[in-house]
Amino acid sequence: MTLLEVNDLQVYFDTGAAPSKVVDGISLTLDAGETLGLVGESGCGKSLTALSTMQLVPQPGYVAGGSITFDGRDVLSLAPDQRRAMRGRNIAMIFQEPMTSLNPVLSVRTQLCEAIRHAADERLSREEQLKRAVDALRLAEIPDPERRVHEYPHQLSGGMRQRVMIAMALACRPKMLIADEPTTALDVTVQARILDLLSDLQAQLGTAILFITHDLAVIAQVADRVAVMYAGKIVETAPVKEIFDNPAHPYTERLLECRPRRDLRGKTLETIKGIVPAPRDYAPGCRFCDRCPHAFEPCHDDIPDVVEIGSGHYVACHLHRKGRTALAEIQSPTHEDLPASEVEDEVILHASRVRKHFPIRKGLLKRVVGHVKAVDDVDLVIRKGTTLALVGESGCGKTTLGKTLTRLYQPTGGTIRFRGNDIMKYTEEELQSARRGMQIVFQDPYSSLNPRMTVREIVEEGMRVHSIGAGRAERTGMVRRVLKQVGLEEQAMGAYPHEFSGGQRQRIGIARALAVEPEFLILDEPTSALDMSIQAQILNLLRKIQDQGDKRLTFLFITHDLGVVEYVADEVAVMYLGRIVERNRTVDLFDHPRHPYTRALLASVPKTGQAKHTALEGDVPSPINPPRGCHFHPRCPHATDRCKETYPAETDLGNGAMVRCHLAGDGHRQPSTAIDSSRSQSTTGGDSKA
Amino acid sequence: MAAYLIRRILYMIPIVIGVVVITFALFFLVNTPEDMARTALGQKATPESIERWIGEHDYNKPTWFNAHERGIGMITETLFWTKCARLLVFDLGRSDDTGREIAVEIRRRMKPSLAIAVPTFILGLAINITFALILAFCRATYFDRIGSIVCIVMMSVSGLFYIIAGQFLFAGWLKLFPISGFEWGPGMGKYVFMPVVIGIFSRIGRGTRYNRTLMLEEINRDYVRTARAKGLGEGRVLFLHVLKNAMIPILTGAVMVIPLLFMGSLITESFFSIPGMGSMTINAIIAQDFSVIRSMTFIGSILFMVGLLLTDISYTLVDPRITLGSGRDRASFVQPGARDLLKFLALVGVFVAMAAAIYFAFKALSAIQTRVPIVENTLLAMVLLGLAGFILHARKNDLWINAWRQIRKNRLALGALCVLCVYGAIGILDSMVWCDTRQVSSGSGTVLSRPRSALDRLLTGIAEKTERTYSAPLSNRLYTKTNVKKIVDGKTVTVREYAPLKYPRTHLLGTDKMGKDVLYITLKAVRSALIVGGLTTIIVIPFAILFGSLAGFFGGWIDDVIQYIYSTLSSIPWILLVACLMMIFGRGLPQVCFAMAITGWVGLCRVLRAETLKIREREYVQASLSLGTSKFEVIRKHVVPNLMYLVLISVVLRFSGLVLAEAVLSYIGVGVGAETYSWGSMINMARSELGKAPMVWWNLAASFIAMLGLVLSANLFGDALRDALDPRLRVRGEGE
Repeated sequence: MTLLEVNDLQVYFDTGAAPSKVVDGISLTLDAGETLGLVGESGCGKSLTALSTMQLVPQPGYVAGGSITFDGRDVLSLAPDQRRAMRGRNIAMIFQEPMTSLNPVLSVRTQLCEAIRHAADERLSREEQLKRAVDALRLAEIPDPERRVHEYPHQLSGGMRQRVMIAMALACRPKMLIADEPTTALDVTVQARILDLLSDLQAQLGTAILFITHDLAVIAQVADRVAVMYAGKIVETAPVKEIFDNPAHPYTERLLECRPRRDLRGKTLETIKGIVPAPRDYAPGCRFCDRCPHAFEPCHDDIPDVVEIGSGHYVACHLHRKGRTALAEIQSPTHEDLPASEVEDEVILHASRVRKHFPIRKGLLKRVVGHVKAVDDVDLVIRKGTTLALVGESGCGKTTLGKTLTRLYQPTGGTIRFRGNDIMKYTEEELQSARRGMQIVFQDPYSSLNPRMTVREIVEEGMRVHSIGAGRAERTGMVRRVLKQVGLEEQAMGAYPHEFSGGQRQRIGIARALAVEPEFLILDEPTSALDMSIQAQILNLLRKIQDQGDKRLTFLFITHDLGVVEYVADEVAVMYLGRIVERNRTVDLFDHPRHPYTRALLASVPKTGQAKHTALEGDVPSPINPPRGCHFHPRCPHATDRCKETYPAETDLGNGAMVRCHLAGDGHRQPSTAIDSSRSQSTTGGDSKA
Repeated sequence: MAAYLIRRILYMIPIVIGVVVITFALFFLVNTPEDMARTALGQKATPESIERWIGEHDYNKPTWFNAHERGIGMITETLFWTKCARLLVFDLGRSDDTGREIAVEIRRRMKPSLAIAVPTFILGLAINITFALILAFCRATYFDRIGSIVCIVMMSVSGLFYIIAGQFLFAGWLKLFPISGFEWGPGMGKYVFMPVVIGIFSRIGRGTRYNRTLMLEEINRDYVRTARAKGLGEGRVLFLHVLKNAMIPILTGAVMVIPLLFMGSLITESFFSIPGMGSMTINAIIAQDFSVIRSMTFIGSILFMVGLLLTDISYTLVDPRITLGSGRDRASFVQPGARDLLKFLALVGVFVAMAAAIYFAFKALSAIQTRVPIVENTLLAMVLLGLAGFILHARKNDLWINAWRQIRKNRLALGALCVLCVYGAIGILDSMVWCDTRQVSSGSGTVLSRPRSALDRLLTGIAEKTERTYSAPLSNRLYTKTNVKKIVDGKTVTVREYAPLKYPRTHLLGTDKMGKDVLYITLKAVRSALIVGGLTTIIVIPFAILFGSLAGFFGGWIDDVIQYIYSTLSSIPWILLVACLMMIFGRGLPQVCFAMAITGWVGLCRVLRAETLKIREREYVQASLSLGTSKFEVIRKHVVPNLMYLVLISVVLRFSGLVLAEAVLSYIGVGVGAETYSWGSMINMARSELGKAPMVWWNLAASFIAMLGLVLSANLFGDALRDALDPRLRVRGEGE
């Protein structure tokens, strides 16, 4: 039975001149109890599509045409009162940012009860409201709901807040739930549990879910059907298995192909050239044609019609008009081989017992009463020319470690040897000149470039500091060369950062680091703020520059994305609460994870064909008061009494690999669980959804 | 919590000591007891009477250290100890002027002050919040737009004008209430009503606008979208979700002001002759009664700090997220190196030396008579060069080009800019000064005439056509009857009548008491206003940028020191500090600028410090540090350029505040002085002129309109500039 039917929906933004057509003629249907995944890169209009079904399109946007029918009623023609009555009761919504989506000054109870009151048909007593609120929290599997209901949002962790949002949305038993990137802001282990919760609740309550995300792996796990959006249009709709096995639209196919995977190690990634066009630059024909490798004449002028190419499989592409061959036959994969890496034995960075503690001050005299042990006794050895990946969830201290290694944060203790010299002993001036050798590429392409400087000034800054290049003319040549190296045009020199897209900005950031000819690059989540297709471009670029100079560059790659790690890293170090718990060669670590945390991390990666995760209980504890003994023991399924008492020492696994776990240490048999078997399959997944 | 409160109270001690030392230093180091005696005794002062006055008022002691005493007396038998340090135990002493016990006087005068201030405050707050809610409810409609503009217009009108107009309306014209006075008890109402209503009215513009901004900021938050998605009505969304969040800054801001209500309002009380704390202060300033001024300064600063403390406490009460005294160390990750510090100290030195050099050079140069006066013309040249430099810089810079594109779309802002240009042109014309040489008939050489500006020369037609006294606009006779000698029937008789003007029907805006053309005076006052607003800002900017960026970037003890300096300065009631400084500097245009600059850098510095705190966490700052750039360079290249938009916005918005403040200072009698034309002096004169029958209105009207024109266009332009430059507003404007 069709619950929601969107027909030729248009949402425009009033921008003064011509309206920008952010959503341009979208049609989709959602059956009762079904999950439809709406997937696409940022700015393609997927959130607006969802918001317009609730009539919540923000100013200056407006619904310009089309129709939305929900449960037989025309949503767009409802009176304001009816519209309001429908929200919450019939359609509920959860949002991406659990941190900002709850009102900070109202208690969970107030916010839950107002939703319950709104949806209830009869007047409810205060006790009844409270009871229902507690029930709703229990439904969302919030521990200790009687206490939590009286708390304020800031007292809850991110995952907990998202559960409150879910409780609030489902308290009124709506027929349809819109989940707008509900797990994007969460850690991978928390994400796994929220996804489990959503599918459990759906089975229990029979709610239809419109699941919006940019993450194909998440879609693969949760959705029954998938609609792929590109530039304000839906380009392909198909059952989830069909999308992954047999993508019909070049965009879908490329999007799947450009994800970093293990079997592509040593090869370049498939990319989609260019960027998603802005609404005012939409081509008159197919909007993907400028980036499409298969574009031919009609693509530029005619908007492709939607054709059905299989059962429930629709695609809007000229390639699939009658008589055309299937996509798989006309294309060949273009993964180029990268030069094999020659690993030298020379160590470039040797850190031992590095600590970074931030003091907490309290009381009358602001005495130091404790420390946030962001980095605690970390040992790292990075060999020249290799890529070491540092993996961990948010708040584990991986970024702080990166900044501490360059003494951007003054370490609290330990020694750091860079190229054999102890940089902890360096004076300010010595340090400034030593920094030429080690550079950082930052996560956020927006805040890492000074908006008041031109690209030339940004790239040139380091050269000036280290007196690279004599005179302006010579430096101009060098800037030009570096920009070319990262794939930017020469004209970019005079422009300001805001004129560039996220991916291009990240290129500028890389160019800035390369300009001082470093040997060692710290890449702090360099792709996590970028869209999937752009991520592939940047990863390819990084692989390319690693080999470009006369000496191979050394990378410390900080990330939370295990797919990227599997693709780029030679070695992996897993961090948990300020300490490195396991270190091994990438292949070995993914094949034989030793630490229970590593296993849990690997198991949390969403993949198809897996009904339920063996997800970790609880959230990451606060680094102010880490649990006694092994930091991981409260969440560890195998914890023993010993784990509660002492922090495990390193167990050498040979070849520079190590693990910090009591179970690995003394001849204990490794607890082999079902996790292993399901762990490292390709996330594309050939299996159908259970 | 307890530990936090104790720490805060302990923290007040050094600030209070700082306040006491500053007030003392201002008075005794620059103003000797003899000077004070001379001011108190006036013209008839003889050496003996001065000696006697000093003895009577206990000023015959060494300043800091008494070598004639022994032991503790070396410190206690000094002026500092007897006159100032005793304040710390709330021993206020006696008034120098009236000899009354100050503490008793304060207790007596507190009640009338509170009777006016409390209702004004509470009703005003309620009304402002209501209006702001209405505007927020109707946001992005025509009503909201008009309401916002009305608010800007209302806040561009000088507070003095509200009082004068209000008095005229209620007391002079409608005759509903007595024009001034006060009596404690049941009959109080008729005295209280007018000051309260006028007080509320004069603050509606600023208050409503501020609260509306706070509410609109909340309306765009994610949780509001969540609330709407739950199906809540717009009423509940606005009155519960938005209001509860917006009330946090509104209430805590209001709590800040509560203790200061005790101080009363200077201007209101003096206009309505209310025997409160404000009029006590103003009388003390006029009489240069130091012991009252230092008591008021001391009490004012204590109340200010109590306000700060209450603000912090009220935060914890209304905002569940905040608990006092906990939280992470906010110390910066960058530690200042010795070299960086030396560089900064050198810069501070250079700025101070430059300011002092300019001050003294101008003082010295203005004594020298040349054909082309040096001071005025150098100043003009500097301003023009600076302006040209900025425009050249802005033409190449993307940020300013984009801002200009945005502003160009805003017709109101363009209009405001045109008006500002007209004022600027008048100011420039009036600053181009040169003298004429004139043959002296008796001697052989030439003598320089009085310097006249280009404006004077353009307006020769009206500038020199002076009448005997008031005349109405375009009238042909004097406004009041004077004794006129007439020849009637061959005999000379003295008749009282409206004498004909020497230059009938030429004075477009009439003439003032001295017979000067009002249009001419009004135009001459433009330059004063521009200088007060402009010069003050020019002095303030380098210091605010330097200290603000330094405190924000390094944190730690540098931040502590700078924060201490500005907390101390800002806890002294503004008007008292300026009044003290003006008494020391003497009256005059540059003096006003310097006095207001010394107090004015604090506000800008605080804003810039807060912004630097954010900038220093940006990754481009860390990227630059990791490139090996020195910290000094990082501040110069990455922090300061990103502060400039804030500087520009606040310069334009503060400019109007300074122009309004000048009027208040002139009214209190510590302004630019009688020989300089200013709108403040004109408004001051208007007070008695309105009381004349029939009323002399054109002086007030002219100054009011001229001032409104400048302040309003500065406010409108500043507003547009903020919309164009503030990245936070820009992001929001772009939708998704």
